[in-house]
Amino acid sequence: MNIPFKTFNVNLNYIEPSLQALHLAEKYDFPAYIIERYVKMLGYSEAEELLTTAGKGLRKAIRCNRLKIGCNELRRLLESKGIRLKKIDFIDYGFWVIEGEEKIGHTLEYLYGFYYIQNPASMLPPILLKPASKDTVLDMCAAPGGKTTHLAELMQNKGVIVAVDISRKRARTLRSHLSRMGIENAIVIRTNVEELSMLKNTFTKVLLDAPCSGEGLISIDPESVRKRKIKDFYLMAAKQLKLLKIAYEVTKPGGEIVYSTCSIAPEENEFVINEVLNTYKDKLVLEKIELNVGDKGYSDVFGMTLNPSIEKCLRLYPHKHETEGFFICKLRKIR
Amino acid sequence: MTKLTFVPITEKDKDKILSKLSQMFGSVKVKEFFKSKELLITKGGPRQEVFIVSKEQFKFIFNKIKPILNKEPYCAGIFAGIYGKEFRPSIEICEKMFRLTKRNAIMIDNHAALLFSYGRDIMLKSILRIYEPLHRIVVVVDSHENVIGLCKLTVKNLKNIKNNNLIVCKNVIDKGWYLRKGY
Repeated sequence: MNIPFKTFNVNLNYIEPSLQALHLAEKYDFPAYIIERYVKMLGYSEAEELLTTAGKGLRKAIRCNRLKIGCNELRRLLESKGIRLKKIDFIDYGFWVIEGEEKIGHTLEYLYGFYYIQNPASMLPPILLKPASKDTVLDMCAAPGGKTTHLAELMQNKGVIVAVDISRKRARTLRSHLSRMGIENAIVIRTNVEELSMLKNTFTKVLLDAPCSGEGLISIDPESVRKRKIKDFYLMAAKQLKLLKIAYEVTKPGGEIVYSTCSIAPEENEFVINEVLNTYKDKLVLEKIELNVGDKGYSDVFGMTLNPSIEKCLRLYPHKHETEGFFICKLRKIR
Repeated sequence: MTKLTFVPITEKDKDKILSKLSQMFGSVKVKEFFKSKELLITKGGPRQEVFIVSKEQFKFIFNKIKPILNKEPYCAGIFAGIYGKEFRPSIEICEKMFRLTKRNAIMIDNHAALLFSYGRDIMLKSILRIYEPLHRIVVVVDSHENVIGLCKLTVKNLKNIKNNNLIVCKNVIDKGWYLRKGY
């Protein structure tokens, strides 16, 4: 198996299942090595709590588009149609859909671009990146557009967002959402993200919501988690590492990068961050995250000791935070 | 097939677009809106699309994306419409212009608004208010002045029509299109 990390050793013994893991694996019908990882990350009882969310689905949530409407007004309009909302504790303009979930994608208000249907975890990366109207922002894996439209809103439709995706189909969806949500400051490019490395030191802020194994989507799609092999995590990690290095290249000195995945796998998150911190020693640092939600990242996991600043990263879990399993961190390029 | 490219629009073509929008929404606000904007048009594709971009976006496209990446945008800024024999404005630009001018629009009741968003036409009895003067292509808004789409008048003067059930405006494009088809 190809381990993409060059600056620290990974001993794959950590996937050897314990009796506890074998017990949970049988009970919940997941591969034992996956469970062993969860037990090592969360402890036995919390690993089981996580497993009980498998296939249960997640409550829907919406993000109010303040470029088009005030959130109180939106709430009033939707509630008049039998859609009951509850404010998300950690996002001022995000709402859980308490009643009327089935109608939420079929209202005129949706067509008017008054809101975006989005898991709260996915609302966090743009908030964390905190782009201003003077920024030049790169959204590296932009489609379908949830984060791009959010970035534009935070920038009050000023400055420039370069939104990149390679797929024609996904770029079309992105364009439709940009249009629906009234976004004006974006430039969409269809290209392989690797080609972006030619734009060295160009962007003041970069969002990399990286392609991942989707291990955080266990509540929605447990089958894809069941199918994962350990090598899949490392294949993804290689890709994520490549993308994060490109993000570093294209960010201006002093600029910021937000890295996120919808995976709870340390292999795709803490390990990747550890590798870039080692690679760009004194050139790239982790910033503290000022959000009132989530658990800290692991600096010691699977028997490996990582850079202690990785605890500044943030983890979200379906069994704890009612969101997708998610990982986020914020990096600053020093030079 | 020729590669699709984004190029700055010629003054002649820009005049044609601004003239069409001025007919619909009056020249003062149209000129004002476009004063600080740049217009790009696509060449080499199946149709010529027009985009309105800021000066910053324009600079980024022509200083970075084209020369360094050797790429063309997929889309940028505000989609203004399709340029051909005649310029066909998009919902996006018409919505902007309606907000600025409050003219060339009809307000319809909520039931008709929902039907219109599924591609249906408009009967006289659904119209609650007229924002004059009207052009042949008018903006359709709901009772809260939210833009739902564009329709084409089938009669010369709405006020002279007596038959309430008569279709007076044919759906040109509506926002439901985002869901039904999309770009």
